[in-house]
Amino acid sequence: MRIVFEKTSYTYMENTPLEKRALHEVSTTFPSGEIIAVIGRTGSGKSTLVQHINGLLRPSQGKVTIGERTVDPKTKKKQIQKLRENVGMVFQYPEHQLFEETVEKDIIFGPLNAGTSEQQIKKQVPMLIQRVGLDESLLHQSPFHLSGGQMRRAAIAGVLAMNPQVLILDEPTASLDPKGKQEIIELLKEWHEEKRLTIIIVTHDMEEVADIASRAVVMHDGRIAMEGHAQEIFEQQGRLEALGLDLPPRLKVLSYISVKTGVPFSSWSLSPEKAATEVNASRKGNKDV
Amino acid sequence: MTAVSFNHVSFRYEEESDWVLEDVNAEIEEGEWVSIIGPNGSGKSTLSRMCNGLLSPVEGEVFIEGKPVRPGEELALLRQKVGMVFQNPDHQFVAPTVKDDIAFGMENAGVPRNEMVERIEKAAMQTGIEKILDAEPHRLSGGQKQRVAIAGTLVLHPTLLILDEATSMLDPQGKREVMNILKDLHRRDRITILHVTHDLREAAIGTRIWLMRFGNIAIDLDSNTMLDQMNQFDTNDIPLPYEFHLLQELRRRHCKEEAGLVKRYIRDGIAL
Ligand SMILES: Nc1ncnc2c1ncn2[C@@H]1O[C@H](COP(=O)(O)OP(=O)(O)OP(=O)(O)O)[C@@H](O)[C@H]1O
Ligand SMILES: Nc1ncnc2c1ncn2[C@@H]1O[C@H](COP(=O)(O)OP(=O)(O)OP(=O)(O)O)[C@@H](O)[C@H]1O
Ligand SMILES: [Mg+2]
Ligand SMILES: [Mg+2]
Repeated sequence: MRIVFEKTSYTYMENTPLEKRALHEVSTTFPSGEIIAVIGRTGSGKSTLVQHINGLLRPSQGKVTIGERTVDPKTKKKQIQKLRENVGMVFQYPEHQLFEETVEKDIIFGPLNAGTSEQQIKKQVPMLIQRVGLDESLLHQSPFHLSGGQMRRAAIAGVLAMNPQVLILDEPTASLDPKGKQEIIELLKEWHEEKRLTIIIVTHDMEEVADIASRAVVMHDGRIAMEGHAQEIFEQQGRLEALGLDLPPRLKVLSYISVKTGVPFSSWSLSPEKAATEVNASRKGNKDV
Repeated sequence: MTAVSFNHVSFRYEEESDWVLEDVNAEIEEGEWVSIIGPNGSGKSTLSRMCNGLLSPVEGEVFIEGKPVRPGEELALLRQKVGMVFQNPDHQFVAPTVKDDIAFGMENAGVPRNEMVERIEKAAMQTGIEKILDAEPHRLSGGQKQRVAIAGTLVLHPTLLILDEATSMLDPQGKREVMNILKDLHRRDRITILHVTHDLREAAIGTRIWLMRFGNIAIDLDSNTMLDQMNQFDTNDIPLPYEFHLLQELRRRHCKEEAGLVKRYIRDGIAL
């Protein structure tokens, strides 16, 4: 599903002394079937932006169109309910979306609610928890008795169970161990390959952006500061730095070595093996001279 | 002096359920900075909650600065020494505004008014939350919440600071800022730090690393040595960040000078 923001503004606690404008006339399009990364500093409006896609927030001004459905300041709650069946969201803090007595009940809640039979959805549970790397023994635990990373995995399983056409993940790898991070990124890639859905991922991890996203949107102070192909965005190092953002780690360390030792790398996206080989070759070359 | 001592500590959340910590035996000396890494569910948060009496061992005992941690009146005193930032900051907010929330702990500790104001100002500046002091803690962005939680602990001037994934939602610049605050506290005020993190780049900055697995400290290394013995981590299938992997490859090719450069890059936190 394609998502279009048209002059979308959002103000928290409008008309109170604590009113806070978090989005300023944002206009952008997320093409259908792509993986889009949303990046930007703390408080720049990333979560606010993506919460408009599943109707958790309604624009204060402007509108958002998700596939055939449009949400504007006047859209009724009922219409938004329909939207949620197609748009799944993993919250920044998973404890905000887990609420059932057991992990299993939590995972099947969405599909059950949407009318899938209990028997049918339960058949899928073993596959889902295996894919998110959750131990079967935890299915009958209370979700609130899980560790932080286990909760994250349960929340992801619950959203995947709904088989949404649009999947939003707000910093999904923040509490995962390094192996879990890799596994979840791989899972998202595979899921995308299988279902060709639109995926929107909020992240601070530039390697992740480089690894998974075809497009990236950079938020700054409630506005979109940059957008385009992820690769193109990384090429604009100066602008990224001016926005207080980082370059992917490999680019950072390779340019550091290059500055300190004069090794000329053939590219900034070399594997560690290749980069080390180039360092070695360059040292030998120097000795020969 | 020994700051923390885990003496044959075992723990399970309910009788008959599996052990979450099994016979943990370890000591942290004053002024050490221990980073705890390890898979989800391995017991890192459980172990850190033992240090301020939020949880008590089922077997064994925990000592802070030589005194046993036991339920009762002394816990209040203990919590002034042991500052803890939780994995989910929502769990530690108690007041309607950020400012009051930060003040709350100090009120309990009997800090005089004018000093409270000073401490809040300083911590707010350090953590970059000057502009949100009047906001409601629950109505902040994910990263802002983490900054507030950190500020609320710093103002208490703890001698032992425990951070449970306290920087997980910060942007890279924010992470660097917090790590710099920690470095300062560690160097200047000789605070003991216990830092739970999934980020090896952060973990490499302290003085010591614990890898937890299945409720136990499976590896206990000094951070400097850790970078020389990374194959230990590989075999335990922890994917290494790019720079760590690069360091290994440079060593393999005997590029000593560049390996040294990358090692310092990691140790000094330039990699963050
Ligand atoms: N429930 C709320 N009520 C009032 N203001 C809010 C609320 N949630 C967020 N804000 C404010 O809106 C702005 C944007 O917040 P948002 O959560 O969208 O940021 P973010 O980019 O997701 O940041 P982070 O990376 O820290 O999660 C911030 O200034 C924040 O303080
Ligand atoms: N309140 C609780 N009740 C019952 N079991 C719990 C509770 N909290 C945690 N557990 C279980 O104890 C084990 C250790 O959890 P802990 O939170 O200490 O892990 P962790 O190492 O901090 O993991 P993470 O990296 O995901 O935060 C996990 O298997 C978890 O399911
Ligand atoms: Mg956010
Ligand atoms: Mg934990």
